[in-house]
Amino acid sequence: MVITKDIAILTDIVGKERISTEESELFCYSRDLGNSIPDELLKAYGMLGAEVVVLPKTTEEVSAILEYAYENDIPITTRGGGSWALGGVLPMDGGIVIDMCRMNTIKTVNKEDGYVDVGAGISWKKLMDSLKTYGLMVGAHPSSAVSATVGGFIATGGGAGTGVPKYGTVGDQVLSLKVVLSSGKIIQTDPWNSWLFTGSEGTLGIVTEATVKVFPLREEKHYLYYFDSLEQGTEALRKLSNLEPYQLSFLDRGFLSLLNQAGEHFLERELAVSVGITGTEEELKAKDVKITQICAAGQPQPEYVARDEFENRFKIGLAFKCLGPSLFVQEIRVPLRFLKNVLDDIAELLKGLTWGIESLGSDAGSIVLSVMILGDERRELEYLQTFSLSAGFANLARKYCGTVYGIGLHNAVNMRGIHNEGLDVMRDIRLSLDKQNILNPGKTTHPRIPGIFVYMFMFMMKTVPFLVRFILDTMKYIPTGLLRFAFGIVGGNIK
Amino acid sequence: MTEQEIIEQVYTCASCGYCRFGCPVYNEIGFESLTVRGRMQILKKILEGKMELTKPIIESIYMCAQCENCNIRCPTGVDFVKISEALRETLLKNRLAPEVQLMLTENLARDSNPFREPLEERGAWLPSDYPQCKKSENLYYVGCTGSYSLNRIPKSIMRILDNIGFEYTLLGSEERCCGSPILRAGDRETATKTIERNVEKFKSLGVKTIITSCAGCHKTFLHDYPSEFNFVHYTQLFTKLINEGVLVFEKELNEKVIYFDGCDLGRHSGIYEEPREILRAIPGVELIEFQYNREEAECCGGPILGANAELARKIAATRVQEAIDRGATFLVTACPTCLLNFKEGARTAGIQLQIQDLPLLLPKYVKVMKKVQTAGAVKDE
Repeated sequence: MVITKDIAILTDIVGKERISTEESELFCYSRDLGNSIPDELLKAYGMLGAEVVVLPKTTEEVSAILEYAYENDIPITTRGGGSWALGGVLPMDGGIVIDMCRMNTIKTVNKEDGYVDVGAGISWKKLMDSLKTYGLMVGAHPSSAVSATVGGFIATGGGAGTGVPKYGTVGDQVLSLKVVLSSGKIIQTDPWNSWLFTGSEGTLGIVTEATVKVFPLREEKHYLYYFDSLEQGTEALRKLSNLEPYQLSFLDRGFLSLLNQAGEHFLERELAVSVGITGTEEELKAKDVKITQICAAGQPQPEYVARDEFENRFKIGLAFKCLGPSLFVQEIRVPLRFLKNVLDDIAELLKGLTWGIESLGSDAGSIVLSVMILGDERRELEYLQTFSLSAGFANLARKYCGTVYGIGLHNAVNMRGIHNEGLDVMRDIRLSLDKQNILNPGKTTHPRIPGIFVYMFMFMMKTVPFLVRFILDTMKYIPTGLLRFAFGIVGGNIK
Repeated sequence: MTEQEIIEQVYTCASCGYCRFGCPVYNEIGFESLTVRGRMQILKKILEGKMELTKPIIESIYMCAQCENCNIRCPTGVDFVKISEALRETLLKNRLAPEVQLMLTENLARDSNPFREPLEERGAWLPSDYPQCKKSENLYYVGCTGSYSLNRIPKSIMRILDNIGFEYTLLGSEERCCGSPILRAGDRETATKTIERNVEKFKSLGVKTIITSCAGCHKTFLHDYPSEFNFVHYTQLFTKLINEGVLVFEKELNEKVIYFDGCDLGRHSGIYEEPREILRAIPGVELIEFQYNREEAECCGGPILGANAELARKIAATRVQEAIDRGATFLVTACPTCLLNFKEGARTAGIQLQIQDLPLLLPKYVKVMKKVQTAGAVKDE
């Protein structure tokens, strides 16, 4: 628990203008993109929420905060743009939330050697906009680039988005990271040990600066094809991925229909496949021929339409949310060769619901699907049933050699299924770097609640949602401390 | 915005945080509760009865510049500015608004200007024998800032209008606030009365076209007044006069000029190119741009001068510093509020840069080539 003395010390470190213990502020820092999750469900996880929020501006400040937290056993939750829905930035055990967004400067732009050195809290869009003046562009970047930070994308693995099919995941772009370890020690990584921290979701250290590759701005060409047949569309996507496109994604019929209901103007076909390529004039010409051949069965759209869709890529995923108004999103990564089967299975799983799928380009012959299910959190029982679908998605991904995309809080129960014995190694690494277990406790390698309870609860949500609602309502009257004690007894990771 | 519409928008907000990107207040302070995302999450809990409406929450509602930068970034169509207007209205009705806001609304209702200046002195800047409130199809509406604190702006514009023989009238001491600050404070009742009174006055003089030099007035006329009038900003009129060869710039201004798109003239009124065309017409001007300009331009902080002057100045200083970093030697805006805030912000932060409002530049450089024939010169074609 954070006490007055802790606040005084933290104030000395960051200054009084960059620290807050105001109730409404702490509430905001105890939520993320998954804002439709019932409060009671977060309580059921035994979440304490933020006790103090700090906005450091330098690596030294982060180091001083961690050194103090380590000595005093105070939990730390690091936050970037908060644009993920998996609960990765929820302060489960209270303590300090470190908002990295003040560390947002571009320190070096080296055009000759093709890299930039940036504060981890800069948003991808800000970086991309600034690089344009140097004639440069980034490689992989997330679909939420307007708010997602460079550090946040690195910490969450950055395995899908624009640029990934051509340049690889964000880990492939990282040349070096400045990381503050839980003890407060500052280290500078090389490209190889940077991988240790990529995708570690704030559990191994805090990335404060990143040196990432950048590339010369080249000519771009964009394509948009509509396919009437799912088979032809998915087959085209598989072949297109071999061309190393800069952008490769699709929208399914459900998604296109919802966009139109929200006032957009798309054709409603089985799949709308979007491809973007960059390169020299010769490279573009060569790829143009191949794309035309691969997509021969599709209905091509004028380039300005394709470019417009590309430029709208950061917004389109949420454009129809008003129809819900709540949105339950599930993301899975699956091999492209199974895409048709996966889409068929999803249709079966979501029968009777309103949903659409957009995809994010990924690497190694895979694709990430963002399945967006519309609902209304105010219709509580119905919405609880929708929540129960997450278990089905994890199973579906596994069936086709895929995985859930991202771990955070909500997918931590899937870690054993994904990594098997590798999970034990990951736990050992985590505890060797963070002996006090202060960094983002209750996430990733250390699931909050044992899987059996989670799956049982999800089964109940699906079959007897009214009972779950009753349990959640009852929880209001149970002290969080008692819940946490109970979870600790049954093997939950409670700090 | 109705209560039900607000509720729907609260649940529509995705908490994606895109609203933070160009938010002047968030970017200066850095805390989530000052973003639209944070405000909507808090509002949701208040509506659900899970959070108390505390003093810091109330104060934060007035810490929004209503610049609408969040609106252009929002992927879900949430319009927080409309919501904040409705919230301020409710807070005011229930006397829950901060003391300073309550005082401001009382002063606005009494004095019809945000500067606490006496109503009877509104026309004091004009020569006593200047003909006011004569019948005319064209009205030059000066606005509160021009009438009280920056008389040089209307005087510059009038010098050009008079030189070209343009026929128009002024309301002088009969002019009242357009309603903009009253609406922003949430006092819809007084604003409605003010608008009705102004419309009646315009009609009584046979006015068809209203020319403005205050961006805030222009925005309010466009959005809150009956569309039976033709609202023209002076930048639109002067651009037309330049294109027709009536106005020509002879003297050189050898400066790297950066034009700042104030929110009321830019995003709220859609006027982006006319001020730039005027500046380009001045020989020697090298026009450069802010990183985020036109629709994406980031607010100067001026609208929160009343709620938090220190913060407003800090935001202004950040913009002035960006202008310098981009190589500008001269910062030009076309909004008196931006001008005042930039000058104060730069002075407080100790930043040196020439800052000027566009109309104050013009008389020095412009030469009248011919007289206009009719009042119809300002009408839309």
